[in-house]
Amino acid sequence: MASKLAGSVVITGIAEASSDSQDSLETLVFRGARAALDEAGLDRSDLDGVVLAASDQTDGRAITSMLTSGPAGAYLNDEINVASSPGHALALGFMQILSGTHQRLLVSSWGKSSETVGSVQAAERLSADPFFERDGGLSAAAAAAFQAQQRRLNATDGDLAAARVAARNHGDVDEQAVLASAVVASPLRKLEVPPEIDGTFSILLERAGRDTPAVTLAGVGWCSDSGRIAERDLSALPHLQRAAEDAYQRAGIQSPTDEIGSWHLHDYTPDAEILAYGPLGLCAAAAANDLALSGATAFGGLLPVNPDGGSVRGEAPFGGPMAKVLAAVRQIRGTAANQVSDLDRALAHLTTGFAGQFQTVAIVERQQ
Amino acid sequence: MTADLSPRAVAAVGVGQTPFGPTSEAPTYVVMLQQAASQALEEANLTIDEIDAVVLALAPESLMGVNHAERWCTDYIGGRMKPVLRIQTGGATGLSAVQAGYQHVASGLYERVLVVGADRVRESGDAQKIFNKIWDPFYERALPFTTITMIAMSAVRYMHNYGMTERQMARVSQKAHYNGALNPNAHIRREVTIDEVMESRYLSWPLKLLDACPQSAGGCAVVLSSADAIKPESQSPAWITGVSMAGETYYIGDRLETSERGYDYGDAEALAVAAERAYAMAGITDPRTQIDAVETYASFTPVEIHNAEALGLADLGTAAPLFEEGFFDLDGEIPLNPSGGVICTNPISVTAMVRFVEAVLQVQGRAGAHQVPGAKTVVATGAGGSHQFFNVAIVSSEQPK
Repeated sequence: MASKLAGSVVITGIAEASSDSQDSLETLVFRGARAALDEAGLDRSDLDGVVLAASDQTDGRAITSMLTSGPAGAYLNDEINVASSPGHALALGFMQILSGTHQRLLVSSWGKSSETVGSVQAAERLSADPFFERDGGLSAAAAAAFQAQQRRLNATDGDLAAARVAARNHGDVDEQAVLASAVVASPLRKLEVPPEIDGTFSILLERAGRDTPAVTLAGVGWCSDSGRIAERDLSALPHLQRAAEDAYQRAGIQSPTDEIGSWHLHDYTPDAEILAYGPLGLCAAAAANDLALSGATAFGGLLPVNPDGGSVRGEAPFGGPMAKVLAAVRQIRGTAANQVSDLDRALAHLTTGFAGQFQTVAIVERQQ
Repeated sequence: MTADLSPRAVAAVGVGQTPFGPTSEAPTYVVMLQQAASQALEEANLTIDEIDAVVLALAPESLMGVNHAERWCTDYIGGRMKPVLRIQTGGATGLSAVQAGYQHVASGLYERVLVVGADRVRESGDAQKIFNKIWDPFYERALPFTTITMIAMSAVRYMHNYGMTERQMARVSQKAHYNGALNPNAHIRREVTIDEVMESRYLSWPLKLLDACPQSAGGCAVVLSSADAIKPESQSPAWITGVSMAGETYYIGDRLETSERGYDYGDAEALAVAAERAYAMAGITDPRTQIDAVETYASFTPVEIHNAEALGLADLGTAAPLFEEGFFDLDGEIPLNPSGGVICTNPISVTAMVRFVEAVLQVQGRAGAHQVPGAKTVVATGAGGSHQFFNVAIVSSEQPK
């Protein structure tokens, strides 16, 4: 399909409204949508659709997209909510443009942990299998810890590699500080997991052809692994490999490390980032720990990963991973804080679910 | 650079429905998913390994009690190592999921997609207590808004605007129950008289018990395919020729003024908008002559009346007498909800998908005792949220050119 897809879908506006704002959720979503439209030189009436990524229990209300669809621009307009992942919302927006049913649409995701009833982890615990796993207290934090434990047991200096990655993604702490921080869910330390923040993310997708600055959304791939966490090898991510293969094929990428200049990986733990190296093709899976220790993934290295920092600095629950796509777009535009030079393509990686059950890979590139 | 992005033709080649009924008598959630999916795959002459991607229809999970249940059920819908995503637009979810599945295939990314869902309404207690939580916590929850009181207010408005009577509403119920009694999958399968409806207890004036839908459990599934990927010996393809959705405002108070189009809260303006777009996509210029039947999401009798108008089957404010005259009966001019509709079956996550599946059965001539003779073009609609999200799909026996 690469020939049909090539250059067909472009991103003309992005916006991120976050974190310490006292605004309501609907105001945050509105501000994000308005800013993305402004950037693209468009008005709400120019949209023919809105794709939302909404999580009821995270927001603490049923059918939470009812509240946010209007502020995102969906009044008397086409609206759909992809409730499984912000990556999936991007994927559906991509398909809506490719299918010809939509010309121009806004993808919006968010997480407002300050409004979550109880805690995000309490809500996450309710997504475990109700018969076998819920009583065991499985949560997103516990699943992430299981995964990190499994990776570190299989790696020499696995702790150090994780600390190095976390320090790089923080940008302003060193690995000793990471190693000295308190253990929050063994083996994960406080500086290895993202604090919850509030944020909304908006991406304006269009069919290519309008005379306006744009970044091409060249390919999106997504894939799921089992919901039975005990049946998964948490240190292998075959579904991420499938998602990446689909995204690369759609973007016409033959050699990922030669063609992708900036990697924006979902570091919900440093271990999750390191485990993604192999399936994404940065290196052989067995060499991932060494790659993390080598420094090649630092800003200025051969394979820059999260050059502008990672989720570990703070991530909005559920919708937050969309920040990876925005970071990748900024790199292609040349507006990133830590700008990678000579860049034509960037990769964004988003995960959702326990230990990354749902994986999405998106490729953005300079418009041809 | 611009590519040719005209949609590929997409057809439903297999459908599945479990018999719907009360949650207390239903299998587990995942078993209902599997039953519906297996039936749809069998009709399509496919195995799950031949499916490229899966779309799960799951409305507010608080109804069935597992947060983000798409994670739990991935394995049960064949989603392991496949692209899976979940759609949630309240009551419109089932048709929104079909639309998302349509876009998987129409985009050219996938050849065959399984769209599947189920619900166990009342699993977590009375649905109306959960639905109260969809409204604004400061201004609307305390009224108290539920989906019943929400529609009661709309019905009162419609009565004020157009003079609809409770007896006209009862006629809609009588028609729905007559049709539902002919549908082996319906939850409520008994005929009622207009007098029985009039004598049933009030839920919220003017809505009575027999004006309202039940709380149902069951599963539903559809296999969608590109033209090239249809297997021999699958069911004859039912083509999707139009899809659209439109959203209303969140705050009901914002809908009380008459809009530029002349609609207010007694009407269904967003459904009219969605229908116009779907009709345009399908090349329908005169719905009253080009549509053979309609499966519309009407959880209460007055909703069916204003839906008929929003869909262009009657002028604004004129549909109620048409119901009395039998215009929308199974043997009428344009049969409305030949399956018995939502008044007889409401498994919320898939209620709108059932509308689509019934449309497929009609154009395939497989609807059995509730078949509309010669149906070639059938409309399916969904509605969700605070009567806020509306979607429309056009199903045809003819492949779009």
